[in-house]
Amino acid sequence: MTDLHEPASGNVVAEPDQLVELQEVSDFDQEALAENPLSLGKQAWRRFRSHKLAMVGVVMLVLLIVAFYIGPLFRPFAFDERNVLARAQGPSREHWFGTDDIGRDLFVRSMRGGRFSITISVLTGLLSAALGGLLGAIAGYFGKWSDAVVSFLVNILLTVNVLAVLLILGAKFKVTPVVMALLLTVLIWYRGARVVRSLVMQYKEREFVLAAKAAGASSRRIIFKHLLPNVMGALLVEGTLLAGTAIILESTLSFLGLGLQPPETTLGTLINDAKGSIDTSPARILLPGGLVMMIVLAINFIGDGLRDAFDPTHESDQ
Amino acid sequence: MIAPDATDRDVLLEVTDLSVGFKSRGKPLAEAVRSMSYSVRRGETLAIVGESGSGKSVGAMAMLGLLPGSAVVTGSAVFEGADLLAMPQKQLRTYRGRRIAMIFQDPMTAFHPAFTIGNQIAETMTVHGLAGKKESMSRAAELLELVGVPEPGVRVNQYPHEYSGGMRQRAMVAMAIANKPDLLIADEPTTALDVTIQAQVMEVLAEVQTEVDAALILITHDLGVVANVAERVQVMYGGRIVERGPVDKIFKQPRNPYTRGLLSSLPRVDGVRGDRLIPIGGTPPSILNMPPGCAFEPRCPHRTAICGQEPAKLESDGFDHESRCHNTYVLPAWEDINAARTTPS
Amino acid sequence: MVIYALRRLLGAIPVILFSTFVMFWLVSSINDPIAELKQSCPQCDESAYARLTDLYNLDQPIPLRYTSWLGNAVTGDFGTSTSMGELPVSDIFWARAKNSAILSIPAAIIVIVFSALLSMYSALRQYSAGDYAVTTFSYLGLSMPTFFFGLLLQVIFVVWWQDWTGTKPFWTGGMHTESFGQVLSSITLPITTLVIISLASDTRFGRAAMLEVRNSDFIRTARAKGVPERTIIFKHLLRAAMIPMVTVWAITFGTLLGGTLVTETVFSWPGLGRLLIFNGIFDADVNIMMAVILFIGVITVVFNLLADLLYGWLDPRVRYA
Repeated sequence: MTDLHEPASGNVVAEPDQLVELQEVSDFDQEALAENPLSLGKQAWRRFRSHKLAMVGVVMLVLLIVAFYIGPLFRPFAFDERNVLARAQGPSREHWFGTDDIGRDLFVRSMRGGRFSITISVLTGLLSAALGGLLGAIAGYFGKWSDAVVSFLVNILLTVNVLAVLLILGAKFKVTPVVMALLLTVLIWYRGARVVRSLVMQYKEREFVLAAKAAGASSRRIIFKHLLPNVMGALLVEGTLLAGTAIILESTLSFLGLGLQPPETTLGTLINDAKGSIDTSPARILLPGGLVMMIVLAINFIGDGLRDAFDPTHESDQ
Repeated sequence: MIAPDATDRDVLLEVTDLSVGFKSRGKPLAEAVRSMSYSVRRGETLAIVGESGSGKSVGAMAMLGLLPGSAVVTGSAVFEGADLLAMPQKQLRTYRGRRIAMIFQDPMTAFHPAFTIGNQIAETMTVHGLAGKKESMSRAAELLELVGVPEPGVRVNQYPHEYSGGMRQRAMVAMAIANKPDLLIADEPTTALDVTIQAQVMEVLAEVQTEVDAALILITHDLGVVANVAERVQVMYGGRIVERGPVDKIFKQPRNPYTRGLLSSLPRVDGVRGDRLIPIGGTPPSILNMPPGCAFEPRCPHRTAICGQEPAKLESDGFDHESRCHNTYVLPAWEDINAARTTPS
Repeated sequence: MVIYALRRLLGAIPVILFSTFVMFWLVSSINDPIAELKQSCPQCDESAYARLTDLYNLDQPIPLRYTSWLGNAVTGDFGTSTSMGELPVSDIFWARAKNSAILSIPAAIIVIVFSALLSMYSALRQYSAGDYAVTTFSYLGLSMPTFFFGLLLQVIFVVWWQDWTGTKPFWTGGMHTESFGQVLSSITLPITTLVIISLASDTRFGRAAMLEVRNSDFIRTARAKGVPERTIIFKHLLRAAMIPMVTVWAITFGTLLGGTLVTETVFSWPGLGRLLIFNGIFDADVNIMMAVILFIGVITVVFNLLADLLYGWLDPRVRYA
């Protein structure tokens, strides 16, 4: 391994690393010092817009959502329409993704499955971010008892095997998308809580909070008006990660046989149905799986862009 | 260019036209230091004063090759006959920590958290092959004692987080002088410390400097520290030297508007009740967006047309006082301005 | 530090108790063996119901059932299995645990070694093509569900490979132990599945950790002292980056040990994961389920504790907390 440190006359064109001097006068601060600074939200939006990967993610996601909702309109089949004559066929002009063992068109089913996957993930992302954010803020701000309780809860969650619980519940109850989202939320909210808690703990010692306290602001006001807006950025990023995790969890669950009840389907269920025919028509597995991957990738790209938008000083992945 | 000096000792370091720029994707070169030239004699203390962004730290780090890969450094820095900026890394390494030592600003982050202080001080000696393991550790303890760290025998085996801020900075000083360097560069050594500790650390620094007979480049934004310790002062703004001279002259007869601004914004011990501080309006320029002429022009109360068009050259008064200002000879007398502050109203 | 460890272990016990109780309560409230027996065996008589009640302590409230289970579990008696012909659960458990270990332990070792190498390479050669490749790989790995990756491997290396070359170097599934060659060909794909997914996230983390250390002040100080680059990398950088990385590795190890569920399903591997899913949950075999859950819970706690201890051992700042 050669030098960590390129010689000063090197030809590496790169972002200047953080130096004491440069930090003070970065664009970020320039903006803050300008006569009419844009609000934090607008600044973040601008940075997000210029993040290439995030834009790719947004486009991907939009295209996927459009496909999921509009796609089936292009085909004359209903998602649960059986056509025994056309069983177990590979992709063709008639059936774009082929058909399954009882003759249902897989393209339409995949699109419908995609709809549910997205719905569940968005719902879960929102709920778990909200729940995690709230509990994390309370734990971080009030400390002691509330912190101890929340920490204990989190420890329990970490010890409990997420998948096992989902399976147990799924084996017994009919799962609707909303129920699924709730279940997933309960089991992954702690990730958002951890982030928010540590942020709040740092922020609460900062001057602007002490000033608000000295002015007599109630705890509730401080949390909602002063702390949460600052934490919003990190929470948003965490929310996208949670949404991505939710899809992976949900599809895994469906793959293991416990998801939405038939004839409803999600992408995971489709893969489960297809695993028996892996030898004859692997496309039946690859196509829905590929869709899952694309959704998660798009979400992760967006999450990366959001992280960059709210915290430009953090080391990017590229 | 050698500034004439009271002492007639040898020139140790001669920096000529040092410029440092930073490359960044899609943007033009950001110049942090613009054609800086100065010299340091053996044993003398030169203070480099400036705000954040003035280029003071960058210039010093450039000499030891401590800047990141995106830095473009031109010019020369001749140290005892050899140009530091032109030599290969391998050779430069033999100077670091041995002939030239640096003391950094924040001692908490400047020390490795997982190695003991003694270990880190000893390392300075062992990497240059100047001492073996055992010998370097006992020497480390001696050094700690020299800088006033209590119970050095015990402390030498402790970790940085077990030291107080002042002690850590003393340990940094100890580490810097371990190999008896000829030149010490202290980059804001007291900024991260409490005021009461600052004085102690500066005292230690002055003591060891004499003990080891090293020259000292003291980089700071604290004029109070400068007054006590330095022989010569060099004021920087916008990557350029704007004024330079003996400490007395700079403080009593400043000939540059920026220096005057700095001095006016200091509270005075002999000031009067009701005396107001006079801050410099505006903010320092970003290195990404430098004014075309004089860097201080947008904020200067004495600016004229030419100031916005082209930068001035550093001009000497013929003796030992230099200033970079188009209007340096037509500025109002400093005594008058100052008198207004100390006269009871 | 020993005191710290003991304190943590002590603190972990209530956590394990609580979480196992939660699982037990969950399963017990949801499952009603009596009702199921009525459904599946209408001709069964009173004695069958009595046996069931006796076996599962169904006449007692759930907390009491839990404590009696716990009492037995602590002595190593995990009861008998109802779905596997009344065999003692312990026997079944250890046999399956061994099978799972064949996959998880090699996978964990590979993940640790490779994530260290890749992180270091990526951090030291930032912005290079290699770094780009590593981060892309991390991205993809994080975006892929484990089961899909496993299936993908099957499609590529079994189905398509066979289509293209006519040979079948890997099994689609199942554990085959007749010869060493068979063992290899059956464990390769599952282990790869486990490795790649964990490797993706560990490398991402490690790279970030190393980059952060690389830019820190103490590295600059070391350079200013004249320490040679080699030493800076392998002594200063590594030592500092190890602190967070080792904890992540400990947790990864624990996760892999307890988390082969999905992979075992995809590759029809007779391990603990499949035992839990098919016998424990689908067949509602409470004793088996509790045994596996307890195991996973203990593993998680132990490795989290290990992570904390390692952190304290490596980072002097934390030691006295």
